This record gives sequence, C-alpha cells and structure tokens, in this order.
Amino acid sequence: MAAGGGTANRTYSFKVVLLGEGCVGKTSLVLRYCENKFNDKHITTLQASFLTKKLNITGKRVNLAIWDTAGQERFHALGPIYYRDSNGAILVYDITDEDSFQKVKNWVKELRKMLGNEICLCIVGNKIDLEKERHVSVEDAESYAKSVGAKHYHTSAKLSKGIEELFLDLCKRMMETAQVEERSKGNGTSQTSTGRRGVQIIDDEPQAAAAAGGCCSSG
Amino acid sequence: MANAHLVMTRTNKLAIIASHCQENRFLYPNKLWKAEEAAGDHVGVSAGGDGKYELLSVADDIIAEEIRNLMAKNIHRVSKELEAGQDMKSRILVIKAAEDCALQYMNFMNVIFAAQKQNILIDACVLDSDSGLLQQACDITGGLYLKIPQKTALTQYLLWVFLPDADQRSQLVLPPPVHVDYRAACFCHRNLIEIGYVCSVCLSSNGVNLRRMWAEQRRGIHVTQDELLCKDGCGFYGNSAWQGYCSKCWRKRKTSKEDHGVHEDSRSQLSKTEEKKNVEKGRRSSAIMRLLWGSSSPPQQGKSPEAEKSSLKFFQNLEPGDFPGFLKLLRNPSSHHLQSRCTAFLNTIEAYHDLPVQKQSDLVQDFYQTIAAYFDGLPELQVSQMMEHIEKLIMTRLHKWVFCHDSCDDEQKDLTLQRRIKSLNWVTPEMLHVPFPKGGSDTSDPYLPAITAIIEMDAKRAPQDKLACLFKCSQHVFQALAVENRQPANADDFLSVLIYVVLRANPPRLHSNINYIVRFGLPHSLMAGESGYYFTNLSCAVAFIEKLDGPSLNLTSEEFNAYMQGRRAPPTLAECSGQQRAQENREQLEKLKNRQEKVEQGVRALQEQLDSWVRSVQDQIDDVKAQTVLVLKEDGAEAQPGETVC
Repeated sequence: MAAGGGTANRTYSFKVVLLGEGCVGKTSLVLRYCENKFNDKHITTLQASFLTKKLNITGKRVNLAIWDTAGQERFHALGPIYYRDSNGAILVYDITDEDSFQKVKNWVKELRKMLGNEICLCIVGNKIDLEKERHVSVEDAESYAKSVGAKHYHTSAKLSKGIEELFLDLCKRMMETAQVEERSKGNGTSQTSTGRRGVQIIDDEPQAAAAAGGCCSSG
Repeated sequence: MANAHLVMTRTNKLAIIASHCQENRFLYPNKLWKAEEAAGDHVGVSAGGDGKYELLSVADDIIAEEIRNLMAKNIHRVSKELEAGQDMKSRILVIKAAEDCALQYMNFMNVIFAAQKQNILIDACVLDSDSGLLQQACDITGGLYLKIPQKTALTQYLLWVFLPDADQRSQLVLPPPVHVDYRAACFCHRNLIEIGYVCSVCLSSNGVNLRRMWAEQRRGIHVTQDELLCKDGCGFYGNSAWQGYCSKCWRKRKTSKEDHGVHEDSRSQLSKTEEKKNVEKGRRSSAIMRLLWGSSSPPQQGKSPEAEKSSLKFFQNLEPGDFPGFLKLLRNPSSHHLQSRCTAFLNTIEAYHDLPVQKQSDLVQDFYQTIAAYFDGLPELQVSQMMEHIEKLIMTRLHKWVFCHDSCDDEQKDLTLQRRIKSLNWVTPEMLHVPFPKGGSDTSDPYLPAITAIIEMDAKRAPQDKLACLFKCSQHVFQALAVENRQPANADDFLSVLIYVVLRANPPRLHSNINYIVRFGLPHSLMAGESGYYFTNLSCAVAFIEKLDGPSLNLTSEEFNAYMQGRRAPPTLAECSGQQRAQENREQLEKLKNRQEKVEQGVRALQEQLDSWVRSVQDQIDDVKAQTVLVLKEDGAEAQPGETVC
C-alpha cells in the first residue's frame, strides 16, 4: 500500500512530501488546497504539517497524504528520513527569492540520488501575485525543471491560482507510475517486495545512526 | 447399517476392519474376497470404497486399548484404488469404544493427513470417552464427530447421522460441530500439552531420557517440529521406531537396503545436532516458516469456505478499536483457525526467542502478510483494523521476548542516546527556536503534557499503542503551539518542539522503542497515515539530537563545546526560570523597600508636620490664652466693682 500500488479496484494511497525553504508559502499552499483558506482566522486545523485529501480521478479513488517537511537549514540533513518511500515531491520556491530556487535545485539532486526516477517531482513557483518583484525568470525555472525531468507550475496561494491543477496533475502522474510499477511487478516474482518494505527501513536506521555517530565525534 | 450402506447404491463398497492394539483384521472383505478383487474386480470398485471400521466385536475385549493400526492399511487400500484413476467419495467411519492408545498416535496422524490429501472423510462415532485425536481427524477431513449420548440408540445414530454422504448431509440437521481441541498430545504419555518441542532424536532415545533432561533443568527442549516430520520430507510425521521416517519411507528404505551407514550415524547425530543448533538458526527459521505456512495452510484451504466467511462476517461488525470485542470473537469456534494460527505462531517465536532480532522481525512481518491474506474478503479499512488487532494480540505477548533484544546493541545505543540527551540539558527553547512564553509570573512549561505523553511510550507494549502515545504527544504539541502562534503549525515548528520535548523528556529506552516499532509494527501504519508522519518526525528528532552541533543552535562551535564541557554556565530552563524568579523577587523586594522608605519618609514628614502643627497650635493657644487672661482679668476687675455695687 505504501508503494502506492494496489489492484485496479483498490484505493491508491500516495505519500507526497512538501519541500521548500522557510517562507516560500508551503503551509499556505497546502492549506489553500485542503481547506481552501488563506490567512484565515477560521482555519480549523491545528496543524498544517500532515494533511490528507481524498480524490476521485477517472473513477479511481486516491488518498493523498501530504507531508510537510522541516525546511530550515539546520534540518537539512534530515531530509532522507522524511522522503523515503514517498511517491511524489512538491518543491516550492518563492519567485521573488532567488535563494529559495537554489535550495530547490539542491533538493532535486538529493531526491534523484536517493529515490531515483520512481518519484514524481513538481517544481512550484509560488507567489505569482507578486509578479512585479519576480527574481527567478520563468524561462530559467522551466528549462531547469525540464532538464531534471520535473514539471513546473506557477501558483499563488493568495489568489488560489494553479493549485488544483498542480495536485491533480501530480496525482495522475503518480497513478501512472504506480501502474507501471505494478505491471513490472506482475512480470517478476517479487510479490514479497511490498511486505518487505517494513523491514527495509531498518537498513536505513543504523545508517542514519552511524552517520550521526560520525558527526558527534567531530562536533 | 453396513447393509443399509450397501443397499443404498449398487456401487457402494464396504470394508469392515476390526482393530486392536496389537492386531487388525479385515472382517468383511475377507482374504478370499480380496484375492478376487485383486484378480479382476478392480474396475468394479470404481465408484466407492467405503471403509468401515468396526470395533464392536473386539470392543468388549479384555483390554481397553486402541485399535486403529490397521486404519493405515485401510487408507492405503482406498488410496490404491484412487490411484486407479477414479474419483470417488470415500469415507471412513470410526466407531470407537475404547480409550485412545498412545502407541498409535503418529500412525494415526499420518492416516489423517493421508485421508485429507485423498479427500476422504473421516467420521467418528464415539461410544465411550471423547477423543481429541478423532476430533482433529474429523475436523481436518471435514467429517462428522459425534459422541453418542445414548448407547442404546446406536443404530439410529448410525443410520441417520453417518449413513448419508457429504452431499446429503448439507440438507440434514445434524448435531452441532464440537469444539475441537487442537492441542497436541505428548507422544509417549498422551498428556495434552500447551507447548512442547521434542526432537525426533530425543524422542528416539525414549521417554526416560526426556525425563532426565528435564531433571537436568535444561532450558527447554528446543526442537523444530520439522524434525518430527519424516526425514524423507514426504510431509508425514516420522516415528522414532522407524528412525525418524514415516512408515512408507521406512519400508522403502528397508527394502532398498542402501542405508547401513545412516543407521550407525544416528547415534553420533545426537551430539551433532546439538552443535548444529547454534549454527543453523537461519536454516531453522525458514523451516519454521515452512512449518507454519507450508503445512498448515493446505488444511485451511481444504476447510469449508463458508465457515471462514461466517467468521469474517462476525469480524466485520466489530467496532473500530474494540480490542476486547475482537478477543471475544477470537474465542468463537468459527474463528478457531485464526486463533490456532496465532497461538502456534506465538509459541514458535517464544520458543525461538534467541533467534537474531532481524529474523524475528522477518517472521512477524511475514506472519502479518499471511494473516492479511486471510482477511482478503473484507474491505480495505476493515482489514487494516483487523490487522491492528492482530498486531496488538501478537506483540503484547512477544514484547518481553523481542523488545531490546540481546542479539542487537539496542541497549548500548539507548544508553548512548540517554547520555547524549543528558549532556544537552543546557539547550534552551530559544536556541531551538521553540516558541515559548516569555517571563511572566506563570512560567510553567506549556509542553509538559507532551513530555508526559512521550515518556509514557515506553510503558506500552504493542507498537500501535506506542504510536498512539506519540500521537497524543504530537497533539499536545500542536495545542501548545496554537496558543503561541496564530497560524497552523508547520513542520519546522513541530519538529523544533518535538526535539525540545525529547530533550526535556529524555524518554526511557527511546532507541529501542523506535527500532521495535520499525521491526514489529504494521508496515502500513508506519508508512502512511498520521502516526506514521509523527513517527518519522520522532526519528528526525532523534537523528537531529544525535548529530547536534553548534551551528544548528546558532552557536559557534567554541560556545557549543564550552556548554558541552560545562565550562559555560548552563542556563538550563529550570535554573533560568529560577533565576528569573529570583531576579523578579529581588526587583520586587527593591521596589517594596523603596516604597517602604517612601512611606517612612512620608510618615516622618507627616510626623514633623504634625509636630509643627501641634506646636503652632500650642503657640496660638498660648497667644490666645495670654490675651484672654488679660481680658478675663479686665472683666473680673470690672465685675467686682459691680458686685460691690449691688
């Protein structure tokens, strides 16, 4: 299930991680999508770090779990713990902030290194309502996205622009990936691979701990 | 009844065998008849060979012993007929009037399995005392087990209950199925046992040795059940009398006579197996798996699917989170397959608790998968609910065996982490960018509920209960954050606070707990879902704490080292607040003192004023007095003359 798979009549479950620097508007983006609210006093949820959304795409049910990740620099090393086993990643940058776009590039590299091509990437330029103060050019962003096999979107959480399209598109792409994976799994005999996922993590855990140990001794 | 059976259909066949502990005899198809059959009647036997097992003639015999040795022969015969390529509905009716006899246990188990493979029903009609063995036989092969309440009505029972074949039985109202006792019996003493593992080697060296081993207080006799199986791997049980082979393979071997060496080896194997035990744990675990899921699942598939469906239906009505309800349903006879599998699994893991923890984790995860397949008919949500119950059931029992296992260095890591957290006691909320109420008279920690919740985690047993504690902790964090922030908390806020909470709480055995959840939790609850997210954050927090250094706290590495070595005054929160409070108190005292002084000054000034006023008044009075005395005197001087006038 975690693989986002399941047979045709089953519900798809996808895990999507949300990456981006501190003030690029990740929270606003998901809140706009899941609650359709922006800087609202009536936001019911206490938190915007884990949100779910149920969708129905071409007759198939999709459960979307959106994981916000800690984007501050000091948490940078924790990235891999967050995005393992995720089906999609939304990388958000602020079009008025060149730095945030650089950060996105770093994450893309890391994601591709860790998860390969199984993950669907979306690069999102947020705050297009501040078009006048744009510092990241559209061409740059789009050509970069193309070069890494990601899709590029322009959104504004404030004006509620482009967000529905972003998530819908991502879901469709993830479904395709899941179907491809299923088919290849059907050919192979590795039926156990889904079940082994729970075990698989353990391999990562000591690694993380070992890495930590290295840092401790140096610090 | 035998006649009735023969009369029912022309093609029905009958064999009656009398059996005794030492001897068995065909009663009905006697030697003569058999020869005839062997000669040319084989085609005629096409539609039904029906074994009848007639004890009555011998039952009144002197010894109350069991009988069923020949049953093996009987099955053998039936199966031979089957091999002729005909499909038929064979049945065996066992009429039992004597006690079970331990001697034949193995043989009879083989008979049962053989019957099951050949689709032969075994019915049992018990006249005397209940027999667990027969109950199992009937249950596995789908036959009827009936203990006759009135012996005088034996014929009626036989005619009404046992005569109709399986197809007809579905239309009859039959006595309810008995509760099957699936416990195994000791091979030599016939006592029912809850847990028991004895290898064929120990077995072959007879019961006395067993008792001696117990007396020597060995930690238990660990032997894989597969060693009980026939050494040739044909799937039947082996018997010590045949050096671990089943009767068939034994005979085969004996005739081929190619195994002289092996015979002599069997003694030395005694010691060899002891050595192997340690070396071949890995191989053994796979053997366990084969045992649990290889051999136990076929009978299940052979079991009537309706019964399973009905038990599933029960489960479907279960309220979410109703664990006691689930346990009640598990006791229900309709779900005894599930229960017996769980129990068998638990016993196996408990018996092999010294396996490496990774192996155990694999076993548990595999078990989850097979059980999940069992619930396949239910909707997805229900399945995950059921799996949660199963996990709770299994892991609550296994916790003491597999938590913080000897085979891994969890304990060491726990200590390291604990020391690490302790050495970081100087980290303040400000350093972690945790929103924290500043100063004020009420400086109690708003994250205290979260801290208590995460400490509680260690006390829980099932992974999901541990996750529930973490969930509770996270909710408290968000509540506290909501007070401080206007906006809903994002991951940065949450993770910072979680790190702070972990540092403050220093939860006991945190590393072990995390690994335990990863190893034995349900994969789907870990991978997806809200508690999975919180668990990931906890892992992040721990990773962060482990590699915490100066820059991540906005400190230079010199400052950081100074703090770590305790050279710098650690402004821990407790002391900080204490100092703050003391400072406040001091200020307040200062203020009070000032005010006091002011008051005193005022008082003094007032006093002076009063004094001066009193003095001035006195002066005035004196003045006035001085004047008035004069006046009075004048008056008096005037009046006196008046008086004198009068």
